[in-house]
Amino acid sequence: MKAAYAVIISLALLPQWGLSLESLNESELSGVTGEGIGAVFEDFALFTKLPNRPEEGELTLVLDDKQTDSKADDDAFIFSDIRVHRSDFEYSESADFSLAGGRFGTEAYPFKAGDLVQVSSILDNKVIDAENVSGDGKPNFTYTALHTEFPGGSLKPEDLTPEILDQISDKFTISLRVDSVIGSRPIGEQRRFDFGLAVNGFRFYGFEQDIWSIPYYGLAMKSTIGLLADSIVIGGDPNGALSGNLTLNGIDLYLPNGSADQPIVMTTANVNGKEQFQLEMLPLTREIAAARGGNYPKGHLRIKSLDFGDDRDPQLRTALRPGGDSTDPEDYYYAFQPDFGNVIEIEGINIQHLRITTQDI
Amino acid sequence: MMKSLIITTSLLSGLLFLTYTSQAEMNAMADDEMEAISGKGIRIDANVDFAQDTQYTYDPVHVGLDHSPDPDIHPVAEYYDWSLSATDDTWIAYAQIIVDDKGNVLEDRNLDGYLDYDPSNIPPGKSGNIIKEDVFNGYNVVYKKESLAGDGTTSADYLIRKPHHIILGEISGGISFSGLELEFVGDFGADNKGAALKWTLPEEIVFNEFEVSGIYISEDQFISRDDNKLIGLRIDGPIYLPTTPDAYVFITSD
Repeated sequence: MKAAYAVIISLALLPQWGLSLESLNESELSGVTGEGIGAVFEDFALFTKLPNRPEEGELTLVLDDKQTDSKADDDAFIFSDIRVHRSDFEYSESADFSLAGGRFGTEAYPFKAGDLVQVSSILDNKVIDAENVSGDGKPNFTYTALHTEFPGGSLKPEDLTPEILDQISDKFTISLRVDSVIGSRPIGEQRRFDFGLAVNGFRFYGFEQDIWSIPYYGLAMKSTIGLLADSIVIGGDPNGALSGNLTLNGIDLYLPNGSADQPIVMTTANVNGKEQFQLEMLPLTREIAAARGGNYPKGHLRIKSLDFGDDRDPQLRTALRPGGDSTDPEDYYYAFQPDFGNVIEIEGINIQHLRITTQDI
Repeated sequence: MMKSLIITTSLLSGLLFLTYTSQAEMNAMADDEMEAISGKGIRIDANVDFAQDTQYTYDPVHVGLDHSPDPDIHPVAEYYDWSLSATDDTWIAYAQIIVDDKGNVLEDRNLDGYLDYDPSNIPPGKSGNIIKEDVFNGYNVVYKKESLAGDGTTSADYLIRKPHHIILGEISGGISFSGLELEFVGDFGADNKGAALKWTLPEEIVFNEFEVSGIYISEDQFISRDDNKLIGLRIDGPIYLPTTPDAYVFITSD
C-alpha cells in the first residue's frame, strides 16, 4: 500500500462558520432545528475477552515512548478485559453471551447528531433606569451551534422519573482492568497490575454538547455530563474481588460545563519551551453571574454511601443483628459498611474558571 | 485489501450523501417506495491496512552526503521531517481557523507565534499583534498582562496564540471484520412504521497492532522531531460483540 493517505482536515465547516458569524434568523433556523440524525443500539454488548476464546484484545495508552523504536521501554497504561453489558448479565465461564446485550436509546430518546440549535447570551440590551426601560430584550449575541446528545441528553435532573429512565436505556455495566508499565520495574516484569474498575448499573442522562465558533477564539463549546450508577467499584486485587475494594454506592452526577457566556475554548500554550494543548473554560464575570441569579441550574455529585472492603465480606462482620439468622449474610453488621450515613453530597457546583493543560511528567 | 478500503470509503460517502438528501427532503417515503427497498441490504467484509510497511526512524536524514560530488557546493543538511523520509505515512492533521469579529481570517503576519490584526480591521492606533483586551470578544473578560517574559514575548493570556496543528500521527496496523450488514427497514420505532437504516455489527472486530503512534502538536501539518508528542494509542487483538448488536440510524424531527 504505497499510496499516501495524508488527510489534512481543516474542518470543512469552519470557514463557512467563520465567514458568516451571524446566526441564522428565526425562519432559517426553524427550517433546520430539531432535524438531525438519530441512532439507537439494540442488544449491545462488548468484550475484549471471552471464555473459550484464546485471543484477547487490549488498549494501550503510551505516555512516553522514550523516542526509541522499541516498544519494550515505553511508559504506558494498558486497559484489558473490558466488558460492557446489560447490568443484570453475569459474566462467567458458562454464561450464554448471546443474552448479554442491552438497549441504548429509543426512538423518543436516541443518540442525536447534526441538529442545529441557537445558543444565546444571558445578557440582553434592556436597560432599566429610574424612569425608563430601553431596549427590546434581545440577547447580546446569539450563535448557531451543532448539537450532539446521548439518549435523554435534553433531560434535566428534575425531569427524571423511573419510567423515563427505562425509556432512555437499559442499565449497563462496564468493567476493565488497568495495568501500568511506568518507570523502573523489576527485571523481567512487563507490566504491573494497578486496579480494576467497574461501573455497575449505569445510565446517562442530560449528556449533551453544543459546538460553535466565536471570533478571536475559534471553536467554542458547552457540554453537560449526567450519570446515574448503582455503584462504582475500584478493586485492588488482580484476581477479582477479594477484599481490596472501595465501593461508591448510588452515584448521581450532574455537571453542566460552560455556557454561551462562558464557553470552553481550545488552544495551545507554550510551557517551558514545549507546545502543550490547553482547554479553557472562560472566566465567569460578575456581570454574568449576577444575570444568572440563584435559580440558574448548577451541578451536583451525590454518593449514597461509601463501602470499604468487599460487599458482605464475612471477615468484616462485627455482630449478628438482634434476632438475626446467623446463616443469612444480610443479618450481620459490617465494619465500614454502615446502614446509614457515609453520604457524600456536593450541591451547587459552579465552575468559575477552569484551565486544563497537558504536561510532560 | 486496497479494494475493500475503497469500497468501504465509497459506501460511506454514499451514505453521507444519503443522509444529507434525506435531511433536505423530510417527507417520509410512501409505502410502495419503502417496500421497494425494504429488506434489501449490503454486507461488508473488510480488511484494512494502514501503511503497515512504513518504517520510520528518529535518526536525522542526511541530504547530499552520498550524492554531492563536492560537499562545499552541496553542504550536508540534516532534517527530521518524517513526511519527507516516509512516503506512505498515514496521518490526520487539524488546525483551527481563527477569525475576527468581521469574519476575516487572522494570521501570524510577523511570524512571532501570535495572531495579528487583519489589515482591513485594525482599531485606531493599534498594529501588529492583537491584544485581547483591545478586541470585543463578547465575553467581557479583560485578560491581564500576566507574565512579561524577559525576552520581550508576552504570555498567551494577553495575546492570541497562533493555532497549531493537532496531528494524529503515523497511523499503522490493520483492522478487519466480516459481516457488517446494512439494510433499510420500515418497521422501526414504537409504531413499527418508521424508516431507518439498520446496521448489524459484526461479531468480532480484530485489530492487528493498530497504532496511532502519537498525538502531536505541530506548527505545520508535518511531524518533526521537535514537535511535542502528547500521547500514543495502540489497540491489539479482538473486540467481541457476541450479540451482533443492531444500530438503527434515522432522521429525527421536531
